[in-house]
Amino acid sequence: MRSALLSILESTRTFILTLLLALSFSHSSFGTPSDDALNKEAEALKQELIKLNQELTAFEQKLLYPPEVQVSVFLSLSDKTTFRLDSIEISVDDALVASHLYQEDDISALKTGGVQQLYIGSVAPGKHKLSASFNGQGASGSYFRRKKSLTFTKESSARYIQLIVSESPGVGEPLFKVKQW
Amino acid sequence: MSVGIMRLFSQSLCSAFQHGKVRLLVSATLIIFSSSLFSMPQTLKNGLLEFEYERNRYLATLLLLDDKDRNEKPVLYASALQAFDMPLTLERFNLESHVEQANLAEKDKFRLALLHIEQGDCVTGLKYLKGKALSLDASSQQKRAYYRAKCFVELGHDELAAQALSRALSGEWAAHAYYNLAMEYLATSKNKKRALVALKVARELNVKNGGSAVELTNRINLNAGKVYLDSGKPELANDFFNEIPLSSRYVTEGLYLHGFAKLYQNDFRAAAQSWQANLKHALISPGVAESLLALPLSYDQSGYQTQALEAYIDASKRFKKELKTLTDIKNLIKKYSAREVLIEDSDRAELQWFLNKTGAKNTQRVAYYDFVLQDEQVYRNIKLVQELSSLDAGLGYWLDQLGVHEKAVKARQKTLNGFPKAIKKSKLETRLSQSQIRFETLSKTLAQLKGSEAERILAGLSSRLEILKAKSSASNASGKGLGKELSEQRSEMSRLKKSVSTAQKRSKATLRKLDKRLSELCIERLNSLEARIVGHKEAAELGLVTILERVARSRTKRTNLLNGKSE
Repeated sequence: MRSALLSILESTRTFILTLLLALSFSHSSFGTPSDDALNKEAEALKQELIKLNQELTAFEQKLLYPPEVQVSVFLSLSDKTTFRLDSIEISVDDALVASHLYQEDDISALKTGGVQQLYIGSVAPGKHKLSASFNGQGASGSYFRRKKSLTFTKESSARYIQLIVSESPGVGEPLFKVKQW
Repeated sequence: MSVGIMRLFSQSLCSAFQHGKVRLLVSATLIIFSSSLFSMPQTLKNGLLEFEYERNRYLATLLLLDDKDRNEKPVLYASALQAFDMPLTLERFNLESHVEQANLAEKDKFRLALLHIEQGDCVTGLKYLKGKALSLDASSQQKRAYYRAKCFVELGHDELAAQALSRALSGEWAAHAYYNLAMEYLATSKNKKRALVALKVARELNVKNGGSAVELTNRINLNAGKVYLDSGKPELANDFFNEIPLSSRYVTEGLYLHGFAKLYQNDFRAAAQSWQANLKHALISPGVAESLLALPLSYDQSGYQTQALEAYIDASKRFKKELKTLTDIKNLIKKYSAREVLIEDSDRAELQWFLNKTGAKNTQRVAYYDFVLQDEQVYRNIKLVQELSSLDAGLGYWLDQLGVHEKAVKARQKTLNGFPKAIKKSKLETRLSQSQIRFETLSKTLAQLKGSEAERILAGLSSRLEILKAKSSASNASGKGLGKELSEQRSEMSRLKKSVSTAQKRSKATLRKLDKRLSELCIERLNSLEARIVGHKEAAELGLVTILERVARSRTKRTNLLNGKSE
């Protein structure tokens, strides 16, 4: 029995080494010239489709959101803020129009200088009320909800509203500012 | 991005594919595109570009970039193109002169470095990764350390790679970097301790709980176990193999090696248990066929001839069955294409057997899909097919949208043509004014219902009236009649519809070609698998014959041909 086991171990060693090589080996075949031609064709098509998509987007935007009625809401986050944004709700004239639940990747993209578009829609010229409810955790880890409201006047040009989350120096309390463009 | 991470990304895409989510993804992306991109303040647009790029939405980033942005942000443009798998010649972007002119931010330097590294130029890549780059956030710092280490490893400077990682704090990227370093040590150094230390650090750094992070830990455990097993330390090896959960894709390899480690420890029963457990998984998963062969071999070597015979017969049957499955799959691919058989959802009755759960947790299709994906060329091809399919689905979406808009414009034209020409503008304005008066009367009547549903409806009506008035006056103010504007919109729609239809035809034709090539590649790959299974089947049958021969010899009197006496 003992010698049988020893013989197994001997053959096992070779077996394992072979297996280790086999398992870590990833097959790779080489492309042919016709593969290259096909890839080039696909790449050219991709490029063309990107251009076409841009045209379509511009057209649709012109059609759906002419500047006379367009309003867009954006959000940015100061890179130093310790406020952990969980979700946001946007209301225009007391009607909920957009909301977003934040993931780690969203926050990370915002902290590197990213600006998120939260809403685009149409409003009539004149005065309107925009409200944003921020839900999240402050520096101390406590949950809180803060509402920020703004009255803006829609004129003939498109209205861009940027919500900015920053932090008061020293105190560590989150600050919510609004900038109109 | 490491191949491992790319594969995980691809798998998640494929899973979206398999669940018919591509159209949804495309629609979601297009909603993002439908923003007021083209006239918004540049500061906001720059931020939006950063956000989309950092969220790995490269197509959205490319769609946001107009000609001006492309000139002003060549690094971001080239990076988005590269990430979207578009072929690049970096010279085209004139990056060097951009670097000289602009005071590049750390994140742009990092992107520039990645562009060069992905093109295989680690030397230039490292040039842009000099210094500490403290302005980068923790996650980017990790990625940066990962790529620095990767480059040093590729250039053969393992020590510098280790130094580059010494500042990596924690997280999946740092863990991946240490894992790669360990693999490099294993390949180049006889001293396995360094590899084990790197694996240990990788495991410690990988603190995140998530799909890819968990699988990385499993991969680390598997490799650490392999190193210990190879060094003749089965007990320590099994400490690592035991850590691999049953839900992991590495479990089959782990179970197979766990069995061998147990055999090293003379624990035959435990070894057989591990291999037996492996037989619940798809036969083509790594380590399963080997477990099937190891079982009778060990029975035989341990003197259990009857069990060995039975196990060999069972192994031979299973291999034969798998060969039949393989032939069926190849025929299905030839008939319907690899995309339909292996990647996308399908309602075909002929494919249902392939989709049913047969193994411990997954369908056979998942095992086969995983197997073909291991081939670099198949992987690239699948990725390309996915991207094009996604763009193609986008075209379908646009055709639908253009159809809807066209109907709406037609309806507006019809209404407009219903008015006598001379009075239609004034008629429209009169109707709006009448509506306004009616609205005001209604408002007065319902003033006492403050806060009620009626008030909300009135507010909505008022808002809609104002929007209509604004749109109407805008079209009049611009000097164009409404009719002319609508005609222009319709002709623009027709032009775009034609372009979309042409592009759709081209995209479908290219997809067909790609699909055909993908099918050929998958069949090539399956042929190699077939050869391997045939080898396993022959090994099982040889084992069976060897035992039978031995039994026959032991039961038959043999005659010495030299002297004619029985032995």
